[in-house]
Amino acid sequence: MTRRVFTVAAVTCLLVLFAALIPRFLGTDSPSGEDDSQAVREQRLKLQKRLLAARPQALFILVDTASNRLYLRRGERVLLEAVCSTGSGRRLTSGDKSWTFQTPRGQFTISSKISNPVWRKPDWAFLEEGKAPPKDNRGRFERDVLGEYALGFGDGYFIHGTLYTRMLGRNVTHGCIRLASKDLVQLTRSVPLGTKVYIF
Amino acid sequence: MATSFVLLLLCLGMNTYTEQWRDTCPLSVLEYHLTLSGEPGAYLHVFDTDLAVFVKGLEVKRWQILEKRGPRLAPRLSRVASWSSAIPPPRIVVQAEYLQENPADTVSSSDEIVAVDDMPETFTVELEDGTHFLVTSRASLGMAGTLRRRLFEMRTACSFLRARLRGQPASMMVLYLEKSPAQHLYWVLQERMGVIY
Repeated sequence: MTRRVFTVAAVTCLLVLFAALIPRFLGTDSPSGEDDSQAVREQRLKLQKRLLAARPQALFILVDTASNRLYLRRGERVLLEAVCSTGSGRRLTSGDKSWTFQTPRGQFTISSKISNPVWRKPDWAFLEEGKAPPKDNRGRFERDVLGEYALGFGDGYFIHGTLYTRMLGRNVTHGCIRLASKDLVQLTRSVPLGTKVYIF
Repeated sequence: MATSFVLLLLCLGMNTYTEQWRDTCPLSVLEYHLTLSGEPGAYLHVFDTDLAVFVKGLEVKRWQILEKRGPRLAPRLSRVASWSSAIPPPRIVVQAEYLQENPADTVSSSDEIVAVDDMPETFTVELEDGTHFLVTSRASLGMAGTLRRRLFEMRTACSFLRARLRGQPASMMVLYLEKSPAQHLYWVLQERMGVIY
């Protein structure tokens, strides 16, 4: 019994050692050296210029969902840095329906700007409260819960205000991006329709 | 006035420092950045001592790599194929049938949200070219955590060997990060995300 335990332990140690040493011994190629000739320098400058030109030069919004921060930038310049709230990642199921409350990632565009938005509660909002969703629009509309403005960036997602300012900085929303009133007003006044939004 | 001038120079210097890699990196790296900056999503660049997140060619986040183990390679571009961890992050699923009626409250309590602090510290990222990155933090986990991590590392090594046997030009790298950067990196990962390494 003891010998068997010892054998298993020895084999395990060897496997662990092997796994730890693999990165040292296995690889496919070595880094290529490049000479510093005039041609290479010129090519480097060309590529650097193209890379700089590829960066967004106009106003854009950048949202960091890990840190819950929203930035309004023009190129390298940060014009506004705001604490926000993004999606909770929670999943709600009801029968054969389910909703996952995540803020989408990728590139989007501000497609609408709404003043004093009214929230039309979707079915999941009723289900979360333990209530049955109404069959029509009666009882679905709530005012003064989305702040002064709502900026739509597609598929029903908005950047809007919130009553729950103490929850800013946390992943608590159903996918939309919430901002404090002061930041929302500044953002809305600064960005035209068509402004790019990058979320990661 | 003099202090402000010195601070301004320092800030300019710091900004130049983070961009200096463009003056010394192989041309292929610049070409990879050009390719990925044309895409809508974020992408990663694994430097020797840092790991950075870029969006449209702009660096938006950078974390220090405490230690990087692996073969020295010519720069490559690949994409995230999958990622897995020793302890998967929580998935909060709520069934509406079990929710009791209560006043309107869209605020979630702490145990009903998934945040970056819930992300694992040890995980593997497999790229489409078969390369495996084992990312781990050096935080002390105690004996049970260390054993679980070792078993996970063995699984990663086996997966890497399978990729090599398939004929893929795979390499295996181990990245040691602090706990928070490792968790942030896990959070940022997306399928088909570009990785320059």
